[in-house]
Amino acid sequence: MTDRVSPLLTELRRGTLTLAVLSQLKVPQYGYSLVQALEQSSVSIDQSTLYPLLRRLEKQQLVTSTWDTTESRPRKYYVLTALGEEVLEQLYQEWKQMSENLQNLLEGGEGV
Amino acid sequence: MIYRDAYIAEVTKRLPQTMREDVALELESTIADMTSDNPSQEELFDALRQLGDPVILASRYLERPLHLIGPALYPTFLSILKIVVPIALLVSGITALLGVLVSFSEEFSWGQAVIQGILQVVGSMLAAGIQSVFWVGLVFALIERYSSSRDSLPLSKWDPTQLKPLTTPKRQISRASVVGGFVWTAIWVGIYLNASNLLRLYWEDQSMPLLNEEALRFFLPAVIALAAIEVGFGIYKWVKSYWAVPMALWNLVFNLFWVIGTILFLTHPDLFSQEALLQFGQVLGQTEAETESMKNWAVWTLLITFIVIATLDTVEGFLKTRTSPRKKK
Repeated sequence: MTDRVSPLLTELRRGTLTLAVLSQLKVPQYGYSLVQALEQSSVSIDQSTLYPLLRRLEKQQLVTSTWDTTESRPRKYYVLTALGEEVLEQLYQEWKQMSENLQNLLEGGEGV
Repeated sequence: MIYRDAYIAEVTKRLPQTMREDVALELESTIADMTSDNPSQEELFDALRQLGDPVILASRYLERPLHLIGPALYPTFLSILKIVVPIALLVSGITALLGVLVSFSEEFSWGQAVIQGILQVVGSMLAAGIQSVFWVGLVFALIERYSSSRDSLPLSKWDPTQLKPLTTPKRQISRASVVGGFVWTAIWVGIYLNASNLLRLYWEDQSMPLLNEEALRFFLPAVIALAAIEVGFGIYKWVKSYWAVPMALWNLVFNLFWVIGTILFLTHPDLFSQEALLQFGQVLGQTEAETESMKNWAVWTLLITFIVIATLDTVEGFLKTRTSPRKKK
């Protein structure tokens, strides 16, 4: 049973990943703090997906990164750019609409 | 820490130089974040397990596959190999065998001749097998690298005008014709490789090679490249399976290669063995000038034949792209 569900779940989560990550980057975060922040909200993300994803977002100029070397060990911090904030807002609106629509579909079931 | 560094190295060695240092540093600090200050091996392994297979992590950083031929193309790759390899083996074996039989001389004992013949035949079959696997593999690796990413491009614009009309029998490329193409490639390459044995001048009970060894060796790299292009184009046809304008354009380029190659080959000044030409003239009782003009005449006839065939093939390619189902009605 679970074997059939898990690939579907992965698929379902995949699309929301970018949104989840962007939502946490209004303040600077480094990789592991981001993982923890997401996990605190019960959003689990495969770490081998997260780090490459951060790099891709940086390439798309949605986030920027800086190395902080003041602490005991250097950490790479990521934060939203202006463009990133804009995109996050758009995705957020889209998400609200989408989840509302889905809610209707799943609970209504009338097919009006 | 040995394992941590080994893990990071496994990832970074698959990345381009420009990314390596940064990724290594980030992974290092991430792993440190995930573990306590002086982690036990078990703790470290736990963190590494969370990061997962270094090959997969590297491929995600790269955003392209790290495999040569993926599952989508692998079945086609196998079915092409199953056709190409036997053809290559068969034709190279037969041409090599013919070469051995033709060049058989009384100088050696039977035993020696048989052993040498077997070695020659097996050797050329082996070479042909390896070459064909290599070139087919190369073509598929190129297809894998440069075509699959297109499909996953996000937000690509699509318009109904891009719809391809359903293929009609004429546009469709039959697999038999592709296989025929492979056979043709194998035959002419086989003849070329054994040209000094197969293309000979015979008179009375003697014979000598018609073409110069050196000229043949000189063109060998170009011949292999041309054969590879021919096989590659065959695979492209097999994968696409119907004629379209890009394919007709490639067909044009391919025919150009053929024509240019043939012109360079046939007009090479030392292509024909001077001795063979002299002998030829003597047998026919001609002067040297007469032989020369006869040779030129033969060369030009061949050239023009090739150019006509190539032109017809190119035009046919373009015509096939134009037959739309609507016109067929």
